[in-house]
Amino acid sequence: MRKKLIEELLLVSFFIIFITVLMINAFEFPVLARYAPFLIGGIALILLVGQFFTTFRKIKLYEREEISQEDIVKGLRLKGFMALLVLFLPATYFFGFVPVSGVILVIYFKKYADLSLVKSLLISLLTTGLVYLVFVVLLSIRLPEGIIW
Amino acid sequence: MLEFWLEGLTNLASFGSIAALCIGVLWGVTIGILPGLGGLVAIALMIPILHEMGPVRGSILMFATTASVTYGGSITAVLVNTPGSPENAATTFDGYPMTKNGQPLRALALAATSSVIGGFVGVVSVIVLIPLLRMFVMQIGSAEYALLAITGIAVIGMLQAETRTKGLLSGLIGIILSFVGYDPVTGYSRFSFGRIELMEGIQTVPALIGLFAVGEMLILFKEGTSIVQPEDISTENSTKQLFDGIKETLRDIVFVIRCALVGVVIGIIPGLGGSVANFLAYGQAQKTSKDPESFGKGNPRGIIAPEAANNAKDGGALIPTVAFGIPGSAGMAIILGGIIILGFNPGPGMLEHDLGIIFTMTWSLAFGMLVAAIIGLSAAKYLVKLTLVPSTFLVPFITILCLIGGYSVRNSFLDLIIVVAFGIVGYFLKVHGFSPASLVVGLLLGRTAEQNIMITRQAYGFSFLTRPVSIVLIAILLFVIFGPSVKAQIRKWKTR
Repeated sequence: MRKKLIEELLLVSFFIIFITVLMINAFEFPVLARYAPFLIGGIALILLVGQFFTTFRKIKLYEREEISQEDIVKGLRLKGFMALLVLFLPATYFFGFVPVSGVILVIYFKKYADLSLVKSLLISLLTTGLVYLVFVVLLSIRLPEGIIW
Repeated sequence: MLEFWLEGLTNLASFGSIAALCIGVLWGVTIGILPGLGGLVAIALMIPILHEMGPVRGSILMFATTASVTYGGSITAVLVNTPGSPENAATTFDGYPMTKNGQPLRALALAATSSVIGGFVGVVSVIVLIPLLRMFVMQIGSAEYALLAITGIAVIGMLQAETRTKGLLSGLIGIILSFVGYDPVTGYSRFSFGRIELMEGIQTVPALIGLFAVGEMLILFKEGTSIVQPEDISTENSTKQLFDGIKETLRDIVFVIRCALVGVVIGIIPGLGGSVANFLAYGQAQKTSKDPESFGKGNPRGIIAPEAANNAKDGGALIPTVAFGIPGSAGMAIILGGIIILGFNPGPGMLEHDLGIIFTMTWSLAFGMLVAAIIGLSAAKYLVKLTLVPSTFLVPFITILCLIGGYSVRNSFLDLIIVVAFGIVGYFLKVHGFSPASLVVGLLLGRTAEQNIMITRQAYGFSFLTRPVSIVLIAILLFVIFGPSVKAQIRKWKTR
């Protein structure tokens, strides 16, 4: 519980910083364009600060707890997957959607589905090929292109 | 009027028309299932062949597709928490929890039946309202738009959150994000930090896909199990489960019609956007429920309300599109183009000369919906197997579909970033009891509310309070905000 509340505190802090940055930026706007961001941003900031203290007080009520091995593994899995998602963006920008999704899928199946390299390669190739066939060839949808494809 | 009504119906009674209807339905359901690729893509891709099909079959194909796209989106919304389009977003709130409770077939049946009834209510509305509506639409100005947007925010601004503060905060963050891009009054580019892509604002579709679909995939991935455990799901009595869902919806017919009428009204109002209808209907259902706490946990009315509304709204949106040449939404703008390609001239003239074809279009919407539901329910037993796929295999495929869906809206790399960023934020919001739904509502309605409040302030001052439609809307707004508290107070007094 304590860990979850600390995470919540970080989330609320992120939103406080995010909205503060937006409100500082809003000072550059013409007067008429400022009203709504100031009003809504102001209310949100007040509520966020209130939420920050509420969560902070709750954290104090809980003692530091042992985290189970299962939770650690789950957390690491999730962080790894999020990192893959984030890594996907710059890689796609430079190399293109089709090759990057193929490579990311191989890494994913190898690491998280415990498949052999051959199986991972095969499934990734099939998936990427199917995506290309359905979206690019049949539906004429453009996918992000890079230097490879 | 009756002869045109029958002419519309008989236009559907030929082999070619039925074939066009079935092709449209299959195409619509297929596109609807893919996240992000909503009605816009489905209709846009068929525009080149419309001309070859002639006015009657072309109309049938186009409207059957429109009807079934929304239904197709409800299938994935219910089964994997991935709305096919913004119109299905609210269906995920109770559809997915019902699936997780081991009743996916019941959820699919509820969605299908309420969609069909909603579709037929939309058709009846067209028949009844076309002669009356010109007067009403002309009465809607910026004040009424602003009031409608505020009503929308008030109804659904506090959905599905752990506490009221968290719900309100989610809604406010959504409203702030809606300010990104050109200010509707001064034209100044706000919060775009010099990026051209941000000047157009944050697009709803990638944000929605990220918050709901990618966010849920992250949760599913962390758990490492399938959506439903095989032992929790009973497919033995699948036919019985489906019929139970259908019967349950039919027993609640008055409620279904009420939600469908919300969809019709939202559809009629040009520019408000069909994606608002499902949220408004859901919010209304929750506010007026005797058991609001059960919403978000698999309440059947939480599926019926958005599905009835989002399918009825197509009928409503058709009215200003064909009768006045004013498309009610981006999807209807493409349909307007399709109608012109088919050789018609939308506007009052079409009401006079082509009333038969207008009714063919409306019947196609209703029967398209019916055929889509029959196909969907027949395949339900097999579609449900999707929920048994281990998350390790399901997550990468759905995530890739989500990324493509988000990108395809305007072929912008920024939208890909939005899908991922909103996905990660959506995960944390959900895990910590905030409300991704409220955030989406704020994002959808914030700009509309701001723009129209500013215009109203300059154009009317406080005199907008004397406009008849405004008075009605203010009464609704007050009822929405204070109604539940007053009801609770009255109940308290009575028990004393």
